[in-house]
Amino acid sequence: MDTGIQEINVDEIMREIRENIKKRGYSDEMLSFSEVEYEGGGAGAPEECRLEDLPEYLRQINGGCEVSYYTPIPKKGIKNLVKCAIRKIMAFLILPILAQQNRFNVAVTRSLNCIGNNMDTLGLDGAGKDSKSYFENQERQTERLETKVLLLEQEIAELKKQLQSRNG
Amino acid sequence: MKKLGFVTPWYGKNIPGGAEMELRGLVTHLHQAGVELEVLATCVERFASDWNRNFYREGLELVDEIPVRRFRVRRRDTVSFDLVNAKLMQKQPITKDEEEIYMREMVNSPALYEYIKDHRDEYGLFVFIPYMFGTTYYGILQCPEQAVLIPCFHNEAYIYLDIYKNAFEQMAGAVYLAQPECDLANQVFDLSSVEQAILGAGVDTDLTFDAARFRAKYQIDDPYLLYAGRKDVGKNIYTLIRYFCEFKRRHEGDPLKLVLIGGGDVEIPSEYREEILDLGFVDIQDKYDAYAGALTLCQPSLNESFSLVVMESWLCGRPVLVHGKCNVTKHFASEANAGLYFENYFEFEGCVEYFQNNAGIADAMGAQGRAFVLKNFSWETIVKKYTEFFEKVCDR
Repeated sequence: MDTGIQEINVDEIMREIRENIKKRGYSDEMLSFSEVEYEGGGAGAPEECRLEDLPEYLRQINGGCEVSYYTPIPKKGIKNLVKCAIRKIMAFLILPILAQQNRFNVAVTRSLNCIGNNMDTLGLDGAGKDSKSYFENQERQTERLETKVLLLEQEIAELKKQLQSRNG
Repeated sequence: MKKLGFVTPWYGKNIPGGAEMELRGLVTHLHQAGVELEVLATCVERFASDWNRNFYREGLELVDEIPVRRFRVRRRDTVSFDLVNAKLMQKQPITKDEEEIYMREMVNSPALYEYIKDHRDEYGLFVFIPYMFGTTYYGILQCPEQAVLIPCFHNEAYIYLDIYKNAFEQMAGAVYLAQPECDLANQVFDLSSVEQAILGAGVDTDLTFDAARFRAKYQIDDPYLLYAGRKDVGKNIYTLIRYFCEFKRRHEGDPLKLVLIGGGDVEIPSEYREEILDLGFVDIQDKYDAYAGALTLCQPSLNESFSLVVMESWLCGRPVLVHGKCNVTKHFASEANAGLYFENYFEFEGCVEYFQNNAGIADAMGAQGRAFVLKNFSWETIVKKYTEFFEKVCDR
C-alpha cells in the first residue's frame, strides 16, 4: 500500500513512551484497579435487561455451562508446540479445579432453568401470563403486521405506477 | 468482463454491520462506474432478524438502482445450531459432525445455490462476503473457479473450523481489507492456489468538518478524547472508560474530557459523570465536527477488520489512539504513521500525555492520516483496484 509518509515514526515514539514508563518505575500496584484482561460479555457489564431475552440467554448458558480445558490451538509453529506442552504439564493442577467449577456451573444452570420454566408460578413473567406463549403470540402478531405493511407498500407502488401511466 | 454476482446473506438500504455497509458502498460505486453487477441475497432482512423468516419477496428488485435477486431460505434447526454456536462462543472445541450441523443449520438457501449452479455462464465471477455464512460456504462450492471471497476475517473461533477449508482452499480469489487479515488467512488456510490481494475498503472522502461548530453546539470547551461507535462490551468500551477514569485520578486538575458518540448504553462511574460525556447518536455532520475537535480518537476495540472510524478521524485531520493487540488498527496506525497504540494503562497514559504535550506532531499525524486515506481508500481508487483484480481473476 502506498504510504508516502515521511518524518514521524510512531513505532519510535512508542519505544520512547515505553522507555519512559520503565524509567519512572511504573507498576500495576500503583493503579486503583487490576489490569485483568477482560474479553467482554461479563455478568458485570450493565446492559438493558429484557425479560424476552431470557430464553436466548438460557440457551446460551445451557450450551456453554461446561468449560473445557482443551481449547483449539492452531496447528502450526514452534510456539504452539510449546503451548501444547505447557497445557499437558499443567493438566494435573488445572483439571481438578476445572471439574469443581463445572460442577458449580451445572448446578447454577439447573437452577436458572428451573426459574426460567416456572416464571409464571413465580409471578416474574409479567401480568401472570405464561411467558413462552405470550412472547410467541407477540412475535406472531408482529409478523402479521409486518406482512401487512409489506403488502400495503406494494399496493401503493402499484397504484402509483397506474396513476403515472394514466397521466403519462 | 461478464456481470459480477455479489453473494451475501442479506442486503438492504440501511441494515447495520461493517460487511453490509462495505458491500453496499462497493456495489454502488462499481455500478456508478459502469460495472455490470447483481446482488444475490436471501429473503432474510438482516443479521439480527429471524433467519427462518422470509422478510422480502423472492425475485428480482432494484434497491437504489442496484439489481438484487432474492431467494427464500431453508427452514433451519435453531436449537441444534444454538448448541454448537454456544460452544464456539465459549471457545470450546467441536467435532466434525458439529461443524456440519453449524454450517447446515445456519442461514442457507438451496434455491440460491441452485441458481448459481444453473446460471454460472452468465456471470464472470461470484464475489462472496463475508466468510462466515452458509451462503458463502455452499455458494463457493457451486463455482470455486469463479469464486472470489471478501472474508472480513477476525481471529475468532469460527475461522478455525476445518469445514471452511473445503471451500476456501479451492476458490479463485480473495480480497482482504488489511495486511494482518491476509496474514491470518494464510496461517489458517492453504491458499497457495488462490489469487490474493489486499485492497482495503472504500471511504467517503468528500466531507467537511468544523471543530468550533461542534464545541459551540454541545458546549464543550475543554480538550477531549473521542470514542465514536457502538457502545458495547465487544468494542472494549469499558477498558477505555476504566483507563480514562484512572487517568483523571492520576491527573488531578487536568481538564481533559471523554466524549462518547454512538448507540448503546454504558454505565458511567458517578464521580466522573461531568468528565465523561455520552452524547448518544449524533447526526453525521456533528460526528465529523466531533472528530475534528478531538485531541485524538480512541478506538479500543480488539477485533476490527478495517475500522471506518479510524479512517474518518484521519479525514478530519486528527490522529488516533488504538489498542496494540488489534493487529489491523495497529497496522494502519504504524503504516500511516498517524496514530499511537497501547496495550496497558501506562501506555494509554503515555500516549495521551504525548498528544497533550506535542500538539504539532499530533496535527502532523492527523494530516498524514488524511493523506493516507485519500491515497488508498477513496472510492475512485477502490473501484479501480477492485475492477483490476476481478479482471485478473477472470483471466486466470
